[in-house]
Amino acid sequence: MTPDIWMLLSFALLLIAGIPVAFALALSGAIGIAAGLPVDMLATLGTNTYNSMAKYPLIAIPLFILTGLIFERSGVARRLVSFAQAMVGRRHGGLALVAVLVCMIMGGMSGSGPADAAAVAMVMLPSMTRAGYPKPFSSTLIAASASTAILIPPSVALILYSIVVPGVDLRALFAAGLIPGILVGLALLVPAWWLSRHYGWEGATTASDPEPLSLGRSFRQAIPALLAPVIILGGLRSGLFTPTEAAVVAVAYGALIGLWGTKELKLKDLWELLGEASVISGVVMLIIALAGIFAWAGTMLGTFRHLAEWAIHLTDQGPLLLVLVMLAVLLAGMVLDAVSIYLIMMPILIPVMQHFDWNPVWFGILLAMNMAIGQFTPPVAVNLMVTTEVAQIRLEQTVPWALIFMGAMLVALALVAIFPQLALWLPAQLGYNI
Amino acid sequence: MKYFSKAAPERALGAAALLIIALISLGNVITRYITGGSFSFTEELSVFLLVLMSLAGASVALRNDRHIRISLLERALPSTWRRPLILIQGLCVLAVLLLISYYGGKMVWEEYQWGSESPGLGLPQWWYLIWLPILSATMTLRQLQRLWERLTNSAHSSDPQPSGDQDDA
Amino acid sequence: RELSVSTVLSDAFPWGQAAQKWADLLKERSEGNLTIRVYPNAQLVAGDQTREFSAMRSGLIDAAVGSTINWSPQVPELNLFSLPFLFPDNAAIDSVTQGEVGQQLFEAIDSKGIVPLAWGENGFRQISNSRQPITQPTDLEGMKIRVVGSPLFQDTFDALGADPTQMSWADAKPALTTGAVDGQENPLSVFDVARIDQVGQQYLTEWNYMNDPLVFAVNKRVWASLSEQERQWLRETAQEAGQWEIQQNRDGMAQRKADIKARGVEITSLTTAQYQAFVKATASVHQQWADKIGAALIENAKAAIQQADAQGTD
Ligand code: NA
Ligand code: NA
Repeated sequence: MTPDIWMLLSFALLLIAGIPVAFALALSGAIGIAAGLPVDMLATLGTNTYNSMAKYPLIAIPLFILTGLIFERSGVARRLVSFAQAMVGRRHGGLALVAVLVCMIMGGMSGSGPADAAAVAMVMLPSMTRAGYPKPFSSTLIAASASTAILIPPSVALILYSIVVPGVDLRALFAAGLIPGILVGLALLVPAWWLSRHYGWEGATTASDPEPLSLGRSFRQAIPALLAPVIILGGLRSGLFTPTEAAVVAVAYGALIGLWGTKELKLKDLWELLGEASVISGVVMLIIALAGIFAWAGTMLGTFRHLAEWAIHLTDQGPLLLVLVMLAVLLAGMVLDAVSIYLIMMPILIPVMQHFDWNPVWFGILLAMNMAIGQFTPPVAVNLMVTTEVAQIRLEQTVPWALIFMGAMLVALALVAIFPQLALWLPAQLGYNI
Repeated sequence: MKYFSKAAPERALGAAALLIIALISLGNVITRYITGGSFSFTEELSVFLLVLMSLAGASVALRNDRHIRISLLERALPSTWRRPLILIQGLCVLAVLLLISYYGGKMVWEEYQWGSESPGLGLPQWWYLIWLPILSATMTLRQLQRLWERLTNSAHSSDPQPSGDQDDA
Repeated sequence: RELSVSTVLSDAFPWGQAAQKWADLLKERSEGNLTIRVYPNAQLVAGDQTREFSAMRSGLIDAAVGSTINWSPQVPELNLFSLPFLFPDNAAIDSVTQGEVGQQLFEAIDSKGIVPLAWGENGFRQISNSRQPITQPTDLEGMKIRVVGSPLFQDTFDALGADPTQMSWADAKPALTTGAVDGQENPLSVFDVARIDQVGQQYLTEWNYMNDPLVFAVNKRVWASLSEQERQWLRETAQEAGQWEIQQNRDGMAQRKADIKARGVEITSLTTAQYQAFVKATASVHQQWADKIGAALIENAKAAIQQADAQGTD
């Protein structure tokens, strides 16, 4: 066996055995080095573990995660739900529509899906269950809708992509994610609405919930939350902040809203949320650090180069290869998290992307859409884990629904693949380099 | 919802590091746009705090089994096979942590001997780097603790999902 | 046998071309028996170029074509090249790198566990900004300038009354676009290839405030493991590649300037009197850094530069 094979095989085995992804990456990287390189080079476990984390643009990651937690704790989700309910009214599939909308707006405040999924699930699951929606359906719908958080800016996944792919402007990526994110939301609504009608969930008169607030009142309560994405994107566009600064401004805004707007956030909650954000970020950052070892070994052993050359020689048909790449990323997305996928696959995909002259911003959005799907496909499904926990059901019960929503999102993915302008129009309008 | 976790010291360290990062960044935004000045020293410090926060947070996650992993096989196995699998998992994680502690320590020692300076502030580089071996050694202890816990009550550890972040809803 | 060579910039830039030339020459000279593979973008150190030297020393990287700025945290003597307004022109640089001082610097590198083989160049660093042409120190007053790490850069721009801001390039680009930062400094080749004009940098001053030579070098253990023949190939080809790249960079300068001008950038050159005003304004920095770099080394460099200047004007 060649060192490449040792590394890839041990990675697969370690993953299946249930070793955390970060550690599986580091250990298989070390195995690859031991099998094919001078043993001195294991020193990368010191140097590159540190270097992979010590990057200024990564600071935006814990800050955007903290933003999501703060908005969640501030009771913003509940206000958004009231507002959306007032807009939608009582009808078949009404609550499903509300859930998708609220997830999308929450996605405009936080950088990763799980916090949104938790917030929306806690507010909406009880009333959805009362209205007759089965828990596995609601949990999966919320998990899938919350995956738009990595498309709708800000996005931890896109921050990472801008670091891994040299020369891509993060602001352009953020702008490019907005329309595909909304498209994904719409794509999820279609089956959700159809299923609700088909099964007769939420009949127009069944609900025993209190009368919804008036539109005007609920809108006024939702304004601060609706403004958050405007402040983040507007700040970036107007040149008021760099992306890292936008992240901290979002944190400060969220804290202000929670402490003095909704008054549901206490100062001591903030300390607790800081701790929680550091733990969630610690999980992400450790993957970044240790995937760095794997990536280093793959680079030095030539594994990635060989795989890229192999992929390019597979076919000279760009579109066909794009489909194959998307399938590969989709499969990877089932078992891996977004961060690992970017760090493992980008060294292979960058040469392919350059060979076929694919636009890096568009390609990054396609990847992110794929990874959004991965957030609610078992066995590794970060959003689904949160919502099933809130619903007190098992992950396995969600599989049929997850397949349906995956199909819907693949349609949205295909649209963006066929019509790149869906991603590229907005950043071009805003004058970013794409 | 309330968050609860074991490994409180690391959690506090992570929270403090993130708080300082946020305050420094916010201070920078405010001074840059209001007074026009800037703290040029902050980037190196913020990046260091990011590393500190990440390692501390990762340690808390390790203690509470929150790192992302596939637990499918583990749940599918009969309970007689579960203990050996847990042991293998634990040893693999320990192997990585020991390698990082060792090579991290070696890196710190070398940089100390060579007298390398940090590129931004010109401080001794090892002041920053030493936190890698310190916190990976801490993680090693947390992993031992966790492994012991899992081995001794693997009989009723029916929930190996890395999702134990909420204790109530 | 294949060695890994780290560079910070890809072969779109003279820096990356220097390493590629080295690889090509070596492959030809050794008839494929000893080859090197170039890893650009500091990818072997996860993008942290200031840790390249340490990584090479501990054996993670076999060799590198590295910049004196990035190696100065480990080899303080290399800060010599960052002393503001010490080297007025190419002749001054050559008199140092190709002379006795260059030898002393190589000894300093060697004493840190790395075998230096040859010099290349990233070039003189020039300043650009979005506000106005810079011809005198007071033009920099209060201007926010993005600088690379080193405290020496900090001191230089402090001495000029500017407001230096450390920023990674990833953050610097948006900051320049949005005007959060007014200016930056880089070699002309970088300004040209990285299209820095696109982030609103319309005013460029060719002030030669410092030079950034490149060093071709190999890890000591790798060097010890090579045969006499292999060492000779490696050293010869490094020197040839270095000379080729320096020549290439200097010959291409006129074309670069023309290209940059054609994109609407206003390029300002300093008169001797204007240059002297900058020398005077930053003289204190030389004193501040004398201990760290070595007063004798600085004196030797100054003597070599004066001698070169005298010969040039003969
Ligand atoms: Na988002
Ligand atoms: Na998945």
